Amino acid sequence: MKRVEGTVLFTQESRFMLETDAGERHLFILSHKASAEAQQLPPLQHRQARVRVTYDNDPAIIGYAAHAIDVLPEQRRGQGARQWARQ
Amino acid sequence: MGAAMIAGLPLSNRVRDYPESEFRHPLPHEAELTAGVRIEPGRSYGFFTDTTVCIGCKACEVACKEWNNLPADNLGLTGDSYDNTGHLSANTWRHVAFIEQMADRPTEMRPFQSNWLMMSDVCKHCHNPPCMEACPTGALFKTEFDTVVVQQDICNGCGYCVPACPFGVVDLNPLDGKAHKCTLCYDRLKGGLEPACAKSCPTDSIQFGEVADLQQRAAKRLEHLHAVGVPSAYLYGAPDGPGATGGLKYLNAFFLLTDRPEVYNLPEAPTRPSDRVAPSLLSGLAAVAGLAVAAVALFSRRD
Ligand code: SF4
Ligand code: SF4
Repeated sequence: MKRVEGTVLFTQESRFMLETDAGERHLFILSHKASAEAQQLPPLQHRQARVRVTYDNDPAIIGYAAHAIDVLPEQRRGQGARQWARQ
Repeated sequence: MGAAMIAGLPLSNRVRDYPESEFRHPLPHEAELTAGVRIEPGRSYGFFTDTTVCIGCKACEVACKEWNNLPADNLGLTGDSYDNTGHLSANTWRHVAFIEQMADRPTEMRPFQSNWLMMSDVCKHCHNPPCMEACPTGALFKTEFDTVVVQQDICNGCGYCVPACPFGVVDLNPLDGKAHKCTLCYDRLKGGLEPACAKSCPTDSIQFGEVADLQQRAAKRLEHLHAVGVPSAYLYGAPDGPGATGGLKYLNAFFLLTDRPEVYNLPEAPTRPSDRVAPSLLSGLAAVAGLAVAAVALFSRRD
């Protein structure tokens, strides 16, 4: 599984767009295996939360399957993460 | 509403209040400016898609993907003319079909779109939606705008809605295990915005508005096409006409077509599966009763 950190720009249903510090944007679909539900995503967008996403490629789409989302602390970005939704 | 007209559509006098072309804030009731209609809860909204003016640009597909954050799917070449999308799916809520009419080629090339039919397909937002009737959790519901939406937190991914839809629209996404389809841009309607696909359509092939207004507009367009020599034009999904059979009554998203529905991958006479429950149950019971009578007859003869 791969990991990427960034800011949640916007969400729609179980889909969300993440922008990395380098300015790259990635589209994720929240996997049914993740212990989180789609309705938990909008608060991350409203806060423009920084998160770490554990993900896999999906050969059927141009996008990724998100298996876990860890919310990173607002003040101490990059220094540890609070587990928010793990597989 | 005022007298200003663009491309035959009435526009609000409010357009004069906004001479600039870029805005830094959302405009109140923006759909009044872009589609000539104010969006209010309790009214019935939909699409009139006039396929005779579709140029196959796929701007609607792109706008839908952009607004709804939907990933590209059906990767690779379909081998099916210029249509790389293929069909509607959980990740593709608008699909512009390219239908090449091979019979006319290559000896005769008539002007305009005589050798191609193009049609932007979408959820029909049925008046009596079979998907909603089939949903056991109530995830599919009618919104305050008379449109049909899947509530994602209620959907349990059972997939009953998929075969219930007579148009093959709603689809399960194996990644998140939920049913997905066009929401008629529910979030945009709540904000007073025209749906993204209709707003992006450069020829107004996709027209958004109140269903009753759209039906009147479509009837006029049909009359005009018949008068100028297109007798094959007809409406699919207008009240009790083709496409609104089997108790569907009418479709909030309806179409003007010029060939048989099957040519556009639409059913000729769609029906509601719920209408088949009683006959299926009765025929099942009759079959069981028949087998029981046969078994009794067989075993009593042995005795
Ligand atoms: S077209 Fe299919 S998915 Fe859309 S409202 Fe009708 S039954 Fe439901
Ligand atoms: S109404 Fe919105 S969700 Fe439906 S096809 Fe158009 S852009 Fe997509």
